[in-house]
Amino acid sequence: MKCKLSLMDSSGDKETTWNPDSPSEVAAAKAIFDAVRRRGYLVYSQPAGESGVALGQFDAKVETMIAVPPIVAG
Amino acid sequence: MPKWWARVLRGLLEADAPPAPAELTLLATAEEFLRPSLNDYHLPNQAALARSRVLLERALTPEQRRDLFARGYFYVKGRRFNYRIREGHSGNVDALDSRGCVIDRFCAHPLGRVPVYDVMLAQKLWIETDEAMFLRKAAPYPLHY
Repeated sequence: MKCKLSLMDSSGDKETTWNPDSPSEVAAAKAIFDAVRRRGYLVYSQPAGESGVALGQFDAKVETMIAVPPIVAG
Repeated sequence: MPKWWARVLRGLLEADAPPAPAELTLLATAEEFLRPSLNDYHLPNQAALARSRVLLERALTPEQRRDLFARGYFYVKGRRFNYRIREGHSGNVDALDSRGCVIDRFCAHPLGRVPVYDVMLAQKLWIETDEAMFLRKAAPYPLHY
C-alpha cells in the first residue's frame, strides 16, 4: 500500500508518496508533513467520496492527505 | 566554574548542537518539496486545472460529482448550514436555509494562486471539518452581485 500527501499549489497539486512499512519513507513523509504544517497549511485526511478529517499530527497509515494553504478572506 | 553555570552552559551547547546528518537530510527533503510553492509566480494553466479537477472529483461523493458535472456546483453539509459551492475563486460559497434558499454568501479561499477546483476542495474541507473557523474567517459577499 502507498500513502500519499497532495500539496495544493499553482500546478494543481504536488504529491509525495510513502510506504507505511518503510521507516525511511515514513520519516521523509513526516518531515514534509511537519514542514507543511509549520508554513501554516492545514492537512486533511480525505478518503475518496467521504468527508475530510483534519489531521493535527502525522499518521503514516492515512492513505490520502491533502495539504491546503492558509485560508484568506475575500 | 560554579556547578550551576556548567549545567547552564552544557544545556546551551546541547541545544545549539547541529542536527544529526539524517535529520538534515529529512529537513532538506522537506524544504525541497516545499520550495516551488514559495516562489510561485505562475498562474495556473490548463494542466493545473485538470490536476485539481481530478483531486476534487476523488474527494466528492457520487452525488456531489453528478451535481458538479451537470450544474457546476455541489452541496456540502455543515453543522450549522448547508452550503452550495459553485465554480469560482471568490464569493462562490452560498449558505442555504432548510428550503434551499440562499441566506448568505461567503468569500474565502486558500492563500496563493491555486486552480479553481483546489479552491472548491479547500472550501469543502474547511466547512466539513471546522465550519466555525470558516464562518469566522470568510468575508461576507453581496447576495445580488
